[in-house]
Amino acid sequence: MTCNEIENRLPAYLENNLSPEEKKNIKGHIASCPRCSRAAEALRKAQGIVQDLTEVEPPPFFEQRIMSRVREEAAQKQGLLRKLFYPLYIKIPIQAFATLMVAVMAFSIYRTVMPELKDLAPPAITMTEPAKDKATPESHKTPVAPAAVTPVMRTPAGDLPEKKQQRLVAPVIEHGAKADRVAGSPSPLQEEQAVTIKPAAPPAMAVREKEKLPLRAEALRTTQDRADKQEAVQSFETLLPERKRKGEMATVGAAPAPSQATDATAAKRSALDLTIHVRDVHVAVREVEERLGQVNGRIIERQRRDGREFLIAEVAAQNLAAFLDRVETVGRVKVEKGSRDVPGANVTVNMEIAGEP
Amino acid sequence: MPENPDPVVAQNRTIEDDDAGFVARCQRGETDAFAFLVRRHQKKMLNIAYRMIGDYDEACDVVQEAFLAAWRAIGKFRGDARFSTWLCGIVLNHAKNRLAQRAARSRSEGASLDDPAISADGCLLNEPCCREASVIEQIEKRERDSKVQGCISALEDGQREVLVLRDIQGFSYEEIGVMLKLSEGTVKSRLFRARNAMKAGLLKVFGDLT
Repeated sequence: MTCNEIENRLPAYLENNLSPEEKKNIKGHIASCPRCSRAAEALRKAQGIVQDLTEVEPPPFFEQRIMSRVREEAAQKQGLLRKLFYPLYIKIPIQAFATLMVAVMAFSIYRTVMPELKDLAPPAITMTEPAKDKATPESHKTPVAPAAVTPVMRTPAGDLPEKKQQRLVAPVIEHGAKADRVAGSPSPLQEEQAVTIKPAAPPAMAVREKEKLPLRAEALRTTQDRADKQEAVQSFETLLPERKRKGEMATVGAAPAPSQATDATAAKRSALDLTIHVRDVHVAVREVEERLGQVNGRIIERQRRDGREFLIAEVAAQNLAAFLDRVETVGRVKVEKGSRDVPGANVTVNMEIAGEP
Repeated sequence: MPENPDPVVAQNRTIEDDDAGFVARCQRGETDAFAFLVRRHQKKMLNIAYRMIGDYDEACDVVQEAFLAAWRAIGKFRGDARFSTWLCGIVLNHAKNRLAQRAARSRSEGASLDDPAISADGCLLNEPCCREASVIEQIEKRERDSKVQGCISALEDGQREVLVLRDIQGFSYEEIGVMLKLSEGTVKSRLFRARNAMKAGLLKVFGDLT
């Protein structure tokens, strides 16, 4: 190792940053070489001189100068933030108003969407009709397998949970069962299903069903009767103001509603409209109720308007003649619509009890 | 002479920083906390800048700019290193930028009044006032320090910053590596070359150092 090489390695040697062997070599060389020994000493001195440099002091108010600029900068930054989010007396009302608006919008959207959600079920049931139409006679005799119906059901409803699919399949099974019930005994469970599903089905569909399966009326009688009662009440009520306008004192429940639904249900309805002129309306009402009780009939709806009583009663068809005979003892009876020979199990009798003119 | 830290121990140890609490307050926008940090570190930063630039007034400007930059960027400080290390890095960058500007200006315009005034014997004329007891001693020390500063300023940029940080400010090799984004081996080799160059410069200015 030459002296120049030793001089270059001296800083590392003094820093104790060499391998022991290299350190030993340099140490031996320095001990025998005055030039390298002086170089090592000069290096130590130079480091000492550098480290001995006097530290300079910051100028007066150096910190204040720095901080004045920092605060200026911070004020600008805060000013921007303040514009966006402060003061609180503006920020808080804005936030509260925004929250309120979000809540109102959410509620209005919910109310808008809700009817559409309710209408989701009927299309699913309607889709079963083609399946029923396409069904072979064998399919009427045997219950429809759910697997055969499921693809049809999935089309509008998508991938529904299993329970929902079962619920949607139920009417299809019922169609098959209806045919069985024509020949056999009706199942109470199936009747209950028919009762629950029937109102959801469109009226047009009900007409089609009736045309195609007239004999199942026996099985659906309970359902139809309930629907008849409701529709009779509705038509009776809706017609009252119209009649009043026309001055038709004696005619009650004669004109069918123009809507498609009313047309469809009119075919199923067995109704009789009466006007009874009596001396005392209150007494007459009690007497009519008595007569109804004698023929096992009952009052469905009762209204009083302009000194007249409007009653809707239900009587068994075979007891209708007896009821009319009995009611004639109450007052002067005028049959406005219908006849004594009404088909069906039960007859809805619309009565207007008025005083003698 | 600063001790040589064991790199393994240095990597595994948790960084303890006395400034951490003040830094957190600064990050919440408290300028008073930053004022404390300025008070604590201004002298060290000024000395680093002064030894790097060699001009007291320019060093003051650089430190002021560096503190302002630190305030702007303190939200990004994650505490991976000490705050003082991070701040030193900012000061060094500003000092190097100032040197680069000065070099560019001197190339285009020649010597400027803004350049550090170096006398014929290599002494800096724009020296800060020292508060020494004796005027004669003060003058002698000023002369010697300005000669030493002249030798430091004559070093290459890479060697000068390592020498200032290690031999004057006493930072560890690890901290210097973090500041300059260099490996410890590179820092050491630069430092050893800087020490040899410094010795040669001082020998030239003072003659025999022994």
